[in-house]
Amino acid sequence: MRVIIADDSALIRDGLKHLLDGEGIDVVGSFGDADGLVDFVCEAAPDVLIVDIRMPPTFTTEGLEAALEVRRRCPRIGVLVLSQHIETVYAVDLLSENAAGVGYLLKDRVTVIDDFLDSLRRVAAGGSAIDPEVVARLLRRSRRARPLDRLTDREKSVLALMAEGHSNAAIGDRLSVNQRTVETHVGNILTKLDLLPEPAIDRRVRAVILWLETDGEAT
Amino acid sequence: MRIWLALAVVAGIAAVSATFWIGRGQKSIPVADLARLESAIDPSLSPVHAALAWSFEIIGGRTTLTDADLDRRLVDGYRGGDTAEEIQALFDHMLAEVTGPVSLVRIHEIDHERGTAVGIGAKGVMLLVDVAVDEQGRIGLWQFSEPPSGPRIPPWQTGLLVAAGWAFVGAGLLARRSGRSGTVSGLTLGSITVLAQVLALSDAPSLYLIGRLAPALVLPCALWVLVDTCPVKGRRWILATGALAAVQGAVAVWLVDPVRLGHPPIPGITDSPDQYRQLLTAAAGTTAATMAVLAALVWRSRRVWRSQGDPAPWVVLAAAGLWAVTAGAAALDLGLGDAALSGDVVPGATLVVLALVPVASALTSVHGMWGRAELADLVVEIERGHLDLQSAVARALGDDSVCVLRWSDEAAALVDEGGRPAGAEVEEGRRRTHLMSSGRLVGALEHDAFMLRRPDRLQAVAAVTGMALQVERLNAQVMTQLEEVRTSRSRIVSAGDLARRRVERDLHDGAQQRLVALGLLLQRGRRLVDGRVCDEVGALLDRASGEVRDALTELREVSRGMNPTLLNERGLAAAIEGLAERLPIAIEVGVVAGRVSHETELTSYYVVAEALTNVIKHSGAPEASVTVEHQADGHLRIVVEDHGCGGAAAKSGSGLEGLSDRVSAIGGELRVVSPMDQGTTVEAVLPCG
Repeated sequence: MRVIIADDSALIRDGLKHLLDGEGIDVVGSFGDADGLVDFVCEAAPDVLIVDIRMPPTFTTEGLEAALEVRRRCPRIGVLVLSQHIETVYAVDLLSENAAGVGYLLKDRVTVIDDFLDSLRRVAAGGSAIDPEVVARLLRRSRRARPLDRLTDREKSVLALMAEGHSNAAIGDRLSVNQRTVETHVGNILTKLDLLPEPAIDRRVRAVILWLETDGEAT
Repeated sequence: MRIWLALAVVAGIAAVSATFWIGRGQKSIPVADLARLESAIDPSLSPVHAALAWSFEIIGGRTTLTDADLDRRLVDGYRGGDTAEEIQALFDHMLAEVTGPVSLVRIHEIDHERGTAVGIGAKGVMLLVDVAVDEQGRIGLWQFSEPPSGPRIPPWQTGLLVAAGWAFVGAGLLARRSGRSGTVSGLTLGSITVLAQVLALSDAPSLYLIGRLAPALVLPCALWVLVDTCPVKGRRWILATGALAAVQGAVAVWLVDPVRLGHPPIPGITDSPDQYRQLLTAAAGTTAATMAVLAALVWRSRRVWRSQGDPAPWVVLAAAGLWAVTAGAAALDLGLGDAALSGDVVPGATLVVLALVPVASALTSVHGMWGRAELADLVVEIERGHLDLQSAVARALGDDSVCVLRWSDEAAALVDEGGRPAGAEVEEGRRRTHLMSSGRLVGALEHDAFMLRRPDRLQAVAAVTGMALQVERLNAQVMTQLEEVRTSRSRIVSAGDLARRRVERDLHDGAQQRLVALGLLLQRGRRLVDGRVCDEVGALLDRASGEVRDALTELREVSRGMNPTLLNERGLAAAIEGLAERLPIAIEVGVVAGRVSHETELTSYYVVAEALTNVIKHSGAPEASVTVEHQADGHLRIVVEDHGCGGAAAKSGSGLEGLSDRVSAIGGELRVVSPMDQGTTVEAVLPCG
């Protein structure tokens, strides 16, 4: 796997590079800012661009904009956006077109290397990796008489993992249930939320996230 | 100025009184004088003749004649009998040789039984002299020893006199209320003299005397009041009118009063054309001069009167005119010698003149009070604020040309309404009255010089205007200070925001990044030892990683809110939504607001954040709502509501107090309604600026 790292902190760039090197992942470029990043990425065509949302010069959302630009220009390249703070609106921005090859994680997640590599691989493979914090917040969003209340607790857990971008098998592993059970849950959830069955994981993620974001009003 | 007027009138009164003092009654003749007289006078003379001789000396003593001359003439000239004709012949003989202002003495009655001779002396020395010689041969002088029998004042005149006297009293009270103390004195003295005239009805010689003297004082008093009614008064005017009043008083006593009071005609005057002409000339002269002075005063006062709409001048003019006519009529009456007018017309007209005096004064008093009502209007207008001070002052002062100047500290000078410095000099005919308040110069009134003639009005308006300017000044000072306080508060808030942003940035670039890097290192270490070293090292590294994550989470909590980037990027709605979804309770968010200024957005954000923090910390409410909307007036209204336990207050040092400062710093308002057990509503209204 080939990745490009963009983060204004040299410490993080180095740390990530060494970490990924150790995992046999090829870091083909590293950037301290977003200047020339998009061109380079589209040229080098890595599997994934790992990018910090906040970079010079304004330290606001340069990374996010670069990621969105890469998504537009080279949809095949996965983007994994990292951030010290998670905002659901940024997640929705990233998923607005499609969820294939999109990741949005808290930066802390790199310190749980197995989960991080899992997310990175999912994104590289055209899947999605949405931070549990985003999903938790969307689930916590307050609306009176939410349709979500129709879900059982177990179904809510399954929904959260679905939204994070896990496959049915991965969900089964995490919840220690077999895949069939997961499929049943998924079917029930989609029915209760009035969503169409979606075989592709990334499309399922997008549908669920957008549903949660709008509380089912738009879909 | 009033003191001069008073002095002048007192001098006039004294002059008139002095003329009477000379011939005052009850005056004993010193023995030495008697002896001298007796030795000088032929012993063969009867007591009556001796008395007449003495009397003549008293009168003549004021002339150029020496005692020796008199004695000689008396002895040489008189050799006659005791009849009135004989005595008269003696006087005529003597008078023929006397020159200069010698008094006239005319004997009109000799009472042989009582040993009295009654004559009338005149010309500024004495009115009536009764010379009496008692049985023992002592000689004495009495005046009016016998009040004349018969009607002295007709009843209708008595009634009018009393009414006029009380009119003086009433006008005096009014003048006192309007603070015109000079007029009060004049009117008081006037009322006494008017009422004292009634004493002439008394049969008691002393009271009768007072009643007879009183009219002489009425005219000076009337003149005093009329002059004081004129706003234009100067020392020269007062002296002139005072002197005129004195002469008027004397002439009046002579010319008018004996006739009016029913005394017998004055033989020596009415049948002596020369003397009479002199008297008439004196009377006409002084009356004309008095009228001229009054007219001049009225003329000089016309601008003040006109500007203030005072009706008094017409009354003063009417009184002066009637006075002149009355004096003329009286003179004419005397000239004709038939006393046709003296009966009713002259006394009636005189009383009308008298009545007009308090009327003029009362009108001015009432007008003055009305002027004070205008002053009250000025005060009320100032109290209401937003007034055109210039025109309000012009109205209250009665001077349309007035210009209000303010003291400017910046210009270190007086400036006009437009802020232009006023020069040190004022134009011809203008005056500047400085306005002081609390011992400092706050401004000035530039007005027509004639306003100096109404010092009371000017002072009152100046005092009120001074206060108004001082209030204006203090207001401006307070506003400036408030603005400074707001600016500094705003600076403090901004400085706080900046510091927060810096800390957040430092955390982000420093500690947070280093912790993430540390976490990465630990993970690499974990990978290295995985399966190679004992599991305890791996477990330790896992624990270390866990600590790093916890530290990162805590740091995130600390730095969150220090710089709400989402607010800058996506606006208020997204930022509040982001805020609400992190909190553990259900929050209904309704934000209907477009982008407003950064300051307002930031303040709104902090209001919501602080209020929601309080909801979670203190209220115990399971849910809360946030509403942000534009008001009709364009202000942004933020309401955070819960149905928890209530009882929140902006205590010193609390988050709510800090919030209140922040809201005030941008000119907004924060209200917290939090009754016990009835929930809490935090409402902020912010300008969108």
